[in-house]
Amino acid sequence: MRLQRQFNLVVVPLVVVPLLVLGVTAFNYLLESEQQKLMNAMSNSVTSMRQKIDMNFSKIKANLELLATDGVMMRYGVIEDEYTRYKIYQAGLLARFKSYQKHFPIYEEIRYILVDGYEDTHWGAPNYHNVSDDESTRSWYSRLPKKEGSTLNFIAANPDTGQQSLYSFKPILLRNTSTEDASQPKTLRGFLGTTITLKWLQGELQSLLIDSTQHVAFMNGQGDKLFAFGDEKLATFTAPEMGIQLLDTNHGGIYQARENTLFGYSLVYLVSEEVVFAKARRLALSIIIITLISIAFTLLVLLFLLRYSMIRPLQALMSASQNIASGELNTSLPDLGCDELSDLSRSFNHMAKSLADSDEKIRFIAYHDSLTRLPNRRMFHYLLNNAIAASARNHDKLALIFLDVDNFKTVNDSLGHDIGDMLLQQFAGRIGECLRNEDSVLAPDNINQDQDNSVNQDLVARLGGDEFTVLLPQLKHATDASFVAQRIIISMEKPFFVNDHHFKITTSIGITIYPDNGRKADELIKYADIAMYHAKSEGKNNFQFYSSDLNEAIADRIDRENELREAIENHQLSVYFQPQIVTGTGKIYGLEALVRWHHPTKGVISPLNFITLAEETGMIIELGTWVMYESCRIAKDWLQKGLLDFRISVNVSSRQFERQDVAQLVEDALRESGLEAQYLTVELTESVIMSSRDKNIATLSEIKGKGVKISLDDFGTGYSSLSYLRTFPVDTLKIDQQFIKDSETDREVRSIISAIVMMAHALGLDVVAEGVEGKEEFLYLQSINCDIIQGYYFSKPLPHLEAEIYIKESLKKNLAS
Amino acid sequence: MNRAVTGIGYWSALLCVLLAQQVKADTQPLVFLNWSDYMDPELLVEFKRQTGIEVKQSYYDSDDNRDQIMATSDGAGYDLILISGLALDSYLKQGWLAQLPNPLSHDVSQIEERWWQAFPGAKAHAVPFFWGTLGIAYRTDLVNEPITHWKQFFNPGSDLKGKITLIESAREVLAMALKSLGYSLNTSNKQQFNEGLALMRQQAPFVGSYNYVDLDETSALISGETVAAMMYNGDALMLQEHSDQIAYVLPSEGGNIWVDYLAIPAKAKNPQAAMAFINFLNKPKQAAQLASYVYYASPNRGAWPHLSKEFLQDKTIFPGQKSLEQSEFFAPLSPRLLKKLNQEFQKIVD
Repeated sequence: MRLQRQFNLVVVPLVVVPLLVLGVTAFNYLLESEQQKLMNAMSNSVTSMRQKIDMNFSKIKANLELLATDGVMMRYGVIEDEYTRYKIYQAGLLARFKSYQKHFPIYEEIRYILVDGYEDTHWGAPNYHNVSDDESTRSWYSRLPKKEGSTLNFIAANPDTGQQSLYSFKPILLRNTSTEDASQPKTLRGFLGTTITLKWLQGELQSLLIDSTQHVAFMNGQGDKLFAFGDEKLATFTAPEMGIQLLDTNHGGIYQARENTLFGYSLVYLVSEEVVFAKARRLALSIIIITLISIAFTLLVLLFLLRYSMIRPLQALMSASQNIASGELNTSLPDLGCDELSDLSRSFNHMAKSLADSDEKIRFIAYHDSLTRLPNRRMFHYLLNNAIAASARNHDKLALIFLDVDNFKTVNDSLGHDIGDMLLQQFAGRIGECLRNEDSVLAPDNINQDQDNSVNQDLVARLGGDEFTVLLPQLKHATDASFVAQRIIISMEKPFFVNDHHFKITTSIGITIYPDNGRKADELIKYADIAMYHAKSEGKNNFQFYSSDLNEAIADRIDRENELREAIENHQLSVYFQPQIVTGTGKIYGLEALVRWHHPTKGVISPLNFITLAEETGMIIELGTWVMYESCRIAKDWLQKGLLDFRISVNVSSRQFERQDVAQLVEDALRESGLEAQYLTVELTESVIMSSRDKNIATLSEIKGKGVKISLDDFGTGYSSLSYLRTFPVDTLKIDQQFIKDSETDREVRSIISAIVMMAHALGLDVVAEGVEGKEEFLYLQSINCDIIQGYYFSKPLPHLEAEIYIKESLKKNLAS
Repeated sequence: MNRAVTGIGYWSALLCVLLAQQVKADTQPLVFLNWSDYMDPELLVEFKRQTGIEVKQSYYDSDDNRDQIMATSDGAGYDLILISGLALDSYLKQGWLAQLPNPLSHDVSQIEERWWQAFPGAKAHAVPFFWGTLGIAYRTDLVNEPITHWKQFFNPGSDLKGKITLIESAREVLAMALKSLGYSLNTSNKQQFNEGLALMRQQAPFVGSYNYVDLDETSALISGETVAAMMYNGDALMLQEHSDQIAYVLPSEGGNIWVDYLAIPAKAKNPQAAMAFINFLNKPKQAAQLASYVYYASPNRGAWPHLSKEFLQDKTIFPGQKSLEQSEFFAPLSPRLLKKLNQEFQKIVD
């Protein structure tokens, strides 16, 4: 539900804010609209009221005008004799006044006042009580209009009624046409006046008020309020401007509509802003409710929508994803429709499928070797366990075959890794072919035969490098396995063609049987390995069944191999030096570098015990290389110390010649150490001369060309002929120590030695006798002019420091003599 | 040629007009402003026969009415007017009356002296016509009791409520109200005056009409619409011609003695004809004939020998001294009071 919450956090404001904004805008608009409405209404009311008032005022004015010019009035006014006036004329005037009053009930009184203020003729409305007929005391008396055409209109308190009335007066100016001529000016006879009740005005004003929150006032020019109705509080705020406006006061806004009527009065209508606000508040409430409902509704719909169109599918997706995460790769989501989420579902399904496919591929890669596509070591273990279990259940035998390519390293080194890989592929293929062809050997039931007849993945595995295994389940007889092994051996005898290279290889096969040799997987593996080893030690290109005897020997050999490997890696080897003494002078001819193994537990081991092993396993290369470098280094050190006056001779195995560029080795060692070639001799055995003759001669020539001397070791043990001696660029012969030992007893041998010496000298070669221990031998050798003596007689091989001391002492001795 | 025709036409038209004027002068009618039923038509015929002058009458039905008429035309439009004595003074002041030729005719001089004296200004400007009283004419058959006092009239009983008519004359109504209260109808006492007004006001709701009843068979008194009417004595007698049920009474409180005059307006177009007519009317035989017709007492001694005994002994026409004692002539009211009366009467009459 976090998504829901997130969604809510975003959507809620997104929904709420616009709706609120809308609500507020609507409210403001309505408020403004209400204000406008009110102002218009007020304006209209006041205007229409003013018009009504003005209409009445106009009427009054007009009537007064009419009356003043009425013949009856004029005839009356002209009569100066009071009695006559009253006797004859007054009835008529009264009748006229009466008529007007009847037609316009707003007239309270119509009267004719003489110039001195005496109310001459008075007609009042029914029930009108005229208080006095002396108007000279009135406040307005002095203001009565005297000029022709003038009028006086004002509102004042009416003493007759106690209310406000509108007084209008016109002067009656006449000339007595019968006695005065027209050139005489008119004289003021009196004043015609009307008094109008203002009840109607008050009624009109009150009618403006809709309720008591308003105020309406009728004011005179000085700002005095003649009539006021409504809320007194509003009454204190009036502005003189005409029209409609909003007055700003401390107590809120007040709308004022003001217009002027005839006769100089003002009509003022005040409404508190509160009216609009009250209405607006009601509106606001409605708007708020509507807005809230809209918000609630929208949110509900959205949330509902979200839930159904998004959250649910997402949850489905989530659980499907979890399924996949937990390994259930066959999950798929239902196709819900054609929106983005169903697109996502489809993508998810594709992805799941891809994952499943990848997973399969990975599995395949994880469990299969990429080069040969055979099961790899991991898978092999699994298959083996399954096969063992199956065999246990079915009480069948199971054969486990280990095989590899003999001397594969050589092939790889000489031809390159690419060729090597392709070789392995073909090798693997041939193994498969051997298995495929013999269905009768293998029980048919448990085999899944691929359509394309490729190698049965479940039987062959590549453990690594050039090591392969073959599982033969449901074996009836152990010997059946040997048929398979033999077939393989024969198959591998056929040459391999890889990229125009054609070469032959052999394979060593070890076989172990369940349950004969063991019941556990790790046992069977170990034994198969040992069996294969045994096959190798038996000369390779054969198969061997495991037997328990093998165990120790092979185990031992394996141990030794490992130890030696370790020794080389962990600097357990060191170089000793055995002096070669010149027979005659006793000076040092040279020092032979001999490797010694300081085994941590077994002590110092002589090369006799490990060189062969090294040569067999190929470790000799490493070893020999190391010895060369180390010897040169020490020699250089001695040279720098001024001790080196002779050559150091380093043994190089024929194996090295086979596998290594010895010339390069020598050059590298010299360069690395800084030793000059003149201080180095390379010792090799006769076998070097005998195999790969041309190549080796070239190498030796090259070495010799640098200034390094060649020494032939163990002369007499090999098959070298003399002609070889001539062609080979050798500088020194070393008579095998067995000869020397035998020479002690065997005269024949002595002769041979003597002959060798003579021959060597004849060829210009130096001769070194090896392994001289006794004085007699020494003397003999001396007698036959053997140049150099090497052996315990003078010194055993010495470690570096002791050798150094020996050299120093030798020098001392030599200097002395 | 055209010029000649135009000239002839023009001159003959002028001639015609002058002749017409002359004819007019001879045959111009005499416009006489008078009460209705106050002239014997036979006399008019006779006058015409004798003089060739036709008398055209214009009527008014109350003094006030007449005053209005005169005020409106400023005294013009009539050759002869019949006015009440009370109006004389005002009319004279307005200059509406022409002076009578001096000396007057023999017949006219036969008029009793007292009538020439009754109202100031009469002598030189107005000729007494008739005199009489103002009382009540009523239906004897329709009243609960005979009417003897103004009180009954002003405080009407059930038989009279709504069935009284008065005269649209403020002074006369007030006068009778004052009389009923026992005051002089000429009082200037404000309080009395106000009492009179109050009585009038009080009576007003019961008054059927302020208009004078007709004097022929269509009269409201004849029909019974009106049971009691304020009436001049002679008019009552006139009505009695049509009904035996009508009686006239000069109430005990007294009434008003009035005198009518003939006067010639200053603006009369035909003053000579007017004077001729006046003279004609005052001839004994004509005077008696007229008096008999209108049932009024003739002021002209010359007429008496020609009047019937019955006529001369009719107390209605010639009230005895005793009856007359309570009655009064109108004297001018003080202006202020008059003004007030005017106003009040206008209100009442509404």
